[in-house]
Amino acid sequence: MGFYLVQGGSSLWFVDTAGTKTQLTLPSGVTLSTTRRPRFAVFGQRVIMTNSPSVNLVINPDGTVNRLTPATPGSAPVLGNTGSGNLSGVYRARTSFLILDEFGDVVSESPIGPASGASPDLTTEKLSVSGVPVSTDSDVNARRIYRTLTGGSVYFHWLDLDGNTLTTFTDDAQDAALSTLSAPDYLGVPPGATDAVQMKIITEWRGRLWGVSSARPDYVLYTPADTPYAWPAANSLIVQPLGADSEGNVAFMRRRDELGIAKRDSISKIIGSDETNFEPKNIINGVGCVAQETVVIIRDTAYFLSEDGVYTWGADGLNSISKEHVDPWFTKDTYFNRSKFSTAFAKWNQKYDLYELHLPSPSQTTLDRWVAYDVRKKIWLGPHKTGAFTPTCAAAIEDANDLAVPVMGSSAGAIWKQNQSGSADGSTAVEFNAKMRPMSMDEPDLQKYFGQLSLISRKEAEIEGGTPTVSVYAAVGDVDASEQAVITADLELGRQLLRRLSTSAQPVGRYLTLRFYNNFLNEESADEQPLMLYGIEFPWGSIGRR
Amino acid sequence: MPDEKIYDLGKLGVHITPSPTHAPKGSLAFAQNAHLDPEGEEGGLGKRPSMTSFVSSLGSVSGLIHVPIGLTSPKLYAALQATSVPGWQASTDGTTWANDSVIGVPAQSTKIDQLSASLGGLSPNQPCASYHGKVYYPGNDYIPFNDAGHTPPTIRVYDGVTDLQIAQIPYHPGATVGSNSIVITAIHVHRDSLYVATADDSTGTKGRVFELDPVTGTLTQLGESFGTATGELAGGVPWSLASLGQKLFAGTHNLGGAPTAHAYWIRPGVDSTWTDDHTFTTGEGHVLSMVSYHGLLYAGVSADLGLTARVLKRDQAGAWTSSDDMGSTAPVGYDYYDGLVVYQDELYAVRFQRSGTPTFEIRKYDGSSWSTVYDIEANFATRSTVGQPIVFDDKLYVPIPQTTGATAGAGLILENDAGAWSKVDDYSGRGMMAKVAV
Repeated sequence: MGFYLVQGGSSLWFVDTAGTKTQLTLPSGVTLSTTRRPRFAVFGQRVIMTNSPSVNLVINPDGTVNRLTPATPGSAPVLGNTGSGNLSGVYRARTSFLILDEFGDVVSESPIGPASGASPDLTTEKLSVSGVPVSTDSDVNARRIYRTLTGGSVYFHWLDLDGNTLTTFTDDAQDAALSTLSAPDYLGVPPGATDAVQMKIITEWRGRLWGVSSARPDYVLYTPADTPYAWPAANSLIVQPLGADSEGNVAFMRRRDELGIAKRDSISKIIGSDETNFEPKNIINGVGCVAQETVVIIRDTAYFLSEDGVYTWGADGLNSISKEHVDPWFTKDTYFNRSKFSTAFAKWNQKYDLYELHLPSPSQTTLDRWVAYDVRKKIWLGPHKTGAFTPTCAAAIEDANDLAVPVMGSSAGAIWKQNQSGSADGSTAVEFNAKMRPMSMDEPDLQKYFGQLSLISRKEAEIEGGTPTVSVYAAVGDVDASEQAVITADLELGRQLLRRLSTSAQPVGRYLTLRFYNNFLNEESADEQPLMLYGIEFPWGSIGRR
Repeated sequence: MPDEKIYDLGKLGVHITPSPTHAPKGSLAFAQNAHLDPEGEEGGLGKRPSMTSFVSSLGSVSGLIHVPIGLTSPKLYAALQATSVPGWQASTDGTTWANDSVIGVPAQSTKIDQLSASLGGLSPNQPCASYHGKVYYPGNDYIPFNDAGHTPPTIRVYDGVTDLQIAQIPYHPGATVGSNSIVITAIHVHRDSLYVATADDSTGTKGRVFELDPVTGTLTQLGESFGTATGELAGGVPWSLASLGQKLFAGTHNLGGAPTAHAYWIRPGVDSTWTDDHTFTTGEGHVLSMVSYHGLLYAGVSADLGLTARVLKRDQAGAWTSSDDMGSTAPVGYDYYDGLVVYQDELYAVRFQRSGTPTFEIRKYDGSSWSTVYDIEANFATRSTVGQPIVFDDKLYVPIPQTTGATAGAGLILENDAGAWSKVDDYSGRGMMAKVAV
């Protein structure tokens, strides 16, 4: 069934499938930016959240929120000798900070801090340790101490100190009692450990987290397997072209066997299975992705918005799915505010198999329109809009029955579920407005007369206070002919013979253009689509070439 | 005149790339809020489905993610004494409680009484544990030792839906032939593993600590057994378990005998034997409860047999000293500190004073000094005990078990909501509290 994590304003919410919300408590000193989009990755039953938080966060299943990685200890412990004990020789120690869950499991470990100076030369004594660093991160609840063997230089896990208070202890655990594994060399500070730099995008692939730093956006960083908090500096791949723009890598495309990584004008992929063979390979230059939120993976194919349209990247390579039908949407300024494509977002409407891409209309900065690509039928519909709210983000979620439901977040702080019955978004009617392209009857050079229009539709139920209708606007003339007076069709009839399309004002023309409009509220309809036009018929006659 | 028939309205979708002259018949210039008929083979152009708001007032929503992990819906469980309503009560808020008839009745005091008649229904402090959304608890589905046809104590697990027996305590190889373990004294989570302490043998002088595999139910004994025989650990049975770093501590209780308690530790997976960390000396009683606080271990001890109740602190060098005794160095039998728990970065302990009107006091240690934060004078039995405090929904719950038999007395559950103490209804707890998440 699952649950939803939502950033609303500067707050983080836990929302269940019934819509019950609970505000989560952020670690002390952590804030959420309202100007940077949150980026999420699900890993090991936890959710990693980056980019909008002032530090990277991990949200646990019980709703507790921790830093993804505590800051590195800034100081080294001081070693001394005391009392009689089991140790002889010289030792050194280092410290890391731990976040443990309620069962004592390690949620996160910071990088290991600096090494202490050499201890005194012990003679069957105990080590006394002072100056154990204390973290300023409020969610650190233990410290891990690493120690060398007698006279050694390799560090091994020695012990853990509970809490974040104690700064001294003594111990005489013999070398043989230390962990047999040396101190991990894979711990590292990820971008986003402080507010100065963000982990601007993140994803999970092959049991690891992958991210891009806002400070070095041409590099892709990744964690060791199963350790989402550890970001070693060595786990870094350069994605070419280096320094081609200021944005660098802007989006991941997580497919089964390949991890796509897109810049604004190029796409590469990561291949390989582990640190020994992970490698970026360029797929194409000249086509890129404008925003992470436009990337949707549908059946192992990535759909995304580039500067000049929508593309897919899948088993059949890279293909444009907008050039043939709706190229002007993405290449002219008539339809959308192309300068704000970088703010676009998309989702998969699984029920209808639609890739739904949200874009700003011309001169707008809010994402007030969306278009839909039917994956099965390979057609586009839209631009759609709603008068009920201003969409701000989108996602595909699952409801209480584990059924996929696309949703939109709104600027007013609500989440709206799509695919619902009825004719209104809330109480605001859904405004249907579809216009056919000019029809020439395959005779674009001939003047024609157009007779009575028949409209065949689904029979709609009577609605309270009126008749369900659809308005038909006809234009006879050239492609830019103006529309005539409205023709109102009664949708209760199923089929209606309407008036002639040619009128005294527009008796003949080379083209006929029809537009259908409906804005009624049909509270009685239980259909998901309370309006359905099946087809039209009309006679026409050629007047000849004039 | 020819008829133009277009019955695939919308089937071609928006098609604005070609010129009007080249546009396919029936294609659309735009299709606002239009949607194809998903049922009809030949299409049909309709209005898109509507939208409904299902949550609001979040602030401008900048991002959301569906987390396909079963939503845990935690409940607080409290086991009640088997008098009026046996079994467990469950609550989502600590205020409204309802009986859960699925989970089994936990082990009753009559079984614990078999440890020693003088204990009079003594309730171990930590007999059940919350572990990854489930409660592991001692079952009542066995015949206690000293009864005919006795069977081994059981451990049961409940996940909010299914209750089942996961393990039985194996026969103690050093115990009297034909005997069984008597009772489970503690279940504890340490470093993401479950540990179980038992009191064995006919006299309750032997005990063991096991690691419980929550998947297979396999019990693996840790280190030596506790007992009086050669090679066994002295001090009584393991009564309280606690974690300090990697070390699992066991504090002993000599049951009805003179307090000669020990604190032992072992590092599971590293050590094969227990290390005797401390032998409690004169003035220090049985180890009833232990907890780690700010990196140090604290133990609540009893004043049984003329000793002084107190909280002892184990410092970073391993030295044990008194941390709190309320200035009462005079020995008073059966006074004790128990139910140690950390709540909102402060250490809480329950002190029971037997003399006069039996009184419970909640003591709090903020890292520098102790203070009494709640004081209950009621008609408690002279040998009332403290159950298993638990933090749920950022509130602290302290159960005072009902006692039965000759020392019968009422019980209750206290709630501390950020400093405000109240009594949770009139529940007379068995002393066991746990969190279960479905």
